[in-house]
Amino acid sequence: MTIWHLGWMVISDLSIAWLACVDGLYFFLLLLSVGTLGRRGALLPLEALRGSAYVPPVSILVPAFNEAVTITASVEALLALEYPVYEVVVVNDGSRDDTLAVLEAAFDLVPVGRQAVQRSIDAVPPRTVYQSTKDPRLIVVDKENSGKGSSLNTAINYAQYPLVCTIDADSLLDGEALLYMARTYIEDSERTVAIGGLIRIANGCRIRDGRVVQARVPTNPLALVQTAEYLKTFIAGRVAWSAVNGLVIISGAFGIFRRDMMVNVGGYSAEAPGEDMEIVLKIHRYCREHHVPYRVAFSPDAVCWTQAPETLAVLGAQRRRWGRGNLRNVRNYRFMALRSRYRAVGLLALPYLIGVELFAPYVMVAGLLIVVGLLVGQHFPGLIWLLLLAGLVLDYMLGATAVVLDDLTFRTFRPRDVAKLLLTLLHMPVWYYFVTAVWRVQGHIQMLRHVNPWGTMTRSTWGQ
Amino acid sequence: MLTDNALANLSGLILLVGFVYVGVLIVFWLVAKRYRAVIRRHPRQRAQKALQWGLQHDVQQESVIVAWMEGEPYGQRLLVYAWAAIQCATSLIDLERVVLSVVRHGRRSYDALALLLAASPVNIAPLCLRLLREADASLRTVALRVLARMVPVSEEFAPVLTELFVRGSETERAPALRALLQVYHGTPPLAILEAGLQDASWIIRAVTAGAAGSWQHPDVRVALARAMSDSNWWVRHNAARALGAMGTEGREALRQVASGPDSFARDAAVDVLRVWQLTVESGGRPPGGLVVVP
Repeated sequence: MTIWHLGWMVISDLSIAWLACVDGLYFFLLLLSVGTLGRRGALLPLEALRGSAYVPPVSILVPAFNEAVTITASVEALLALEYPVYEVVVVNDGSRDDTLAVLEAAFDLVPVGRQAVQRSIDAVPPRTVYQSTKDPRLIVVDKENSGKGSSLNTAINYAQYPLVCTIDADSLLDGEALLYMARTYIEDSERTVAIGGLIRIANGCRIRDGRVVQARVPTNPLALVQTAEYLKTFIAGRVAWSAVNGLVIISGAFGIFRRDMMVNVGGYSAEAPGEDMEIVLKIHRYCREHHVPYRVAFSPDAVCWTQAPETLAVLGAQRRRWGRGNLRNVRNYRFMALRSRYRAVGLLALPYLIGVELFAPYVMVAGLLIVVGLLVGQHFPGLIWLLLLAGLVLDYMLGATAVVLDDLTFRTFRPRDVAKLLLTLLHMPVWYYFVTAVWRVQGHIQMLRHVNPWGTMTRSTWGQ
Repeated sequence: MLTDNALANLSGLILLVGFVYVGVLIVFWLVAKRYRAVIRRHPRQRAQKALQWGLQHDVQQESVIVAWMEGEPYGQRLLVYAWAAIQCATSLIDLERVVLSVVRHGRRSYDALALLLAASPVNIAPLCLRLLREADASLRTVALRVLARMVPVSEEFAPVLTELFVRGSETERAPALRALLQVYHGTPPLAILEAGLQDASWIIRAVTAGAAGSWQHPDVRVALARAMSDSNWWVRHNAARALGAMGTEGREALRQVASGPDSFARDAAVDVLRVWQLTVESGGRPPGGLVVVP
């Protein structure tokens, strides 16, 4: 047996072990999701919350940077939410476009002498704080540009309610999304410190008055694959991680946090990217180290609709940013991994993050090199084919289960849209995984070289 | 190493497993969708017919419509029959039979059932009293919800409500306390208020603080001013609002808290005082908490 032969055997055995572990973990997560979704909302009917005086009041924080195109529709939709007591705090993060002027014109803003609420986080002080005379629930904080995390910290300082909800300025919440979040909070209000919501892709949907009135899958192929990808991530992943209190990411597009906990952990990191994952890791760390009973929950009924990138350039910038954020957070919080003190986060979530999320792009890139090798006439052992085939089949099984589970639980899409998603899952592994894996690896390289561009996100108005 | 033949067999097996799994999944999906459509449609159609039938008896139509709106499809049909039975009932025994048959169908019907019972032409106070002493928690819950619609609550309820407030489950204690506080009018039940404001559950503390504003009494004001340093936002908020509703002396107590050392209590007091100030300035219109910098 040659040294090459031996090396090949070791690599192939390790690959099979990695694949078996990853797929076993995915199926375990999927089973947890099925159980969790089956039990959801059994305790408290939503109707009981609508007019309740004891639904916790919420401050909705909206950081906005160059969002002049979508900001009016987004804020109008937020002010029309079904929720008893809430306020909307928009932070204009030194936008270079007309975001502030658009807001001033649309909502009749006037400068007010509102002071930051006590127990504040260190944050960039605002230039001016405005309040709307049309709807006093709207506060606009204008400040110099300092990034999303820093803007959220400023917004937290001006939030007056005990719960804060962070959403992106280009996102739309379902009318009842906050009520669903409140239901999840009330079910265990003593321990719940943060709740994540379900993010869906709004491209292709029919939108009227800032509400998604008919859910449709996108016609743009790039947005369509992202719809299937988000379904897999949220339905088969985050639901299950929350069931074991191991959720380490609450999407920046939509999440609810207890304000006092945000203050305790010092708010968001001013460093970008990956601040949405870092805040959750900070909360886990703080609660475990201070022996605070807590849970980080996920509410799959609370839906936030967001615009997905429709061009490769924009999607690439987004995924490279995610790659940088992942690597930064893993590097900063690797000490929590495999330590029983941090329970599910230390023993399951962080090892998953390092062993699967961080490592997967490299496996995919290796797979891509093999495919390229085959195309140029290289010969590879049959076991490679077997591994690729097993990976593809298992991935499709997982994706299809997530799509069907989503349809049976939430009935969001028409049957023909579900069929489209099932077809999309067939071709995703052939190209999409490889392309995103390359972007992720590029993101890791950028992180190691301290290159940190945010990238340009193009926005379009919400169609009527 | 695996032979080429074994690899081919394994590949075939993997593909077969994949095809079978996805096939079963799609069949399950289609059947489940069909089944859901069937079970959703039938009770609703039957319930709509029952509603039409119920509305032909033109007494208390509003109650039936509200019950219909609040109920779930399964409960709606049942509630319409229950409404008819309640309207026709001439004795508490008949009413009790209706309650016993309806509560078995789940907690989602409780509110509507309570509404129907409260609108009954028969005096249902004795029935509520009996239900509150039942071992079955669902019957006690319905009775508490009926009491929430009966103002004022008779003094004969005080012992059983106190018992529920002290020893009841988490879901019973807050409504029991609310009803209990409705029993007293002139003199404040200081012992109950004190116990409520020091309870371990924030909901109980918030309910007590919210209800305490009904009594113009110096001891109540002192207790509320103390509650403004509570760890829970709702307790502080309700205590401040209750003090704000207690006239000049209540607002004076709020002003003292507003200049005190506790920043949490200060926030709640300033908020209520500001709203009161703006209400006065704007001639009684709700101000929306707007303060314009001159």
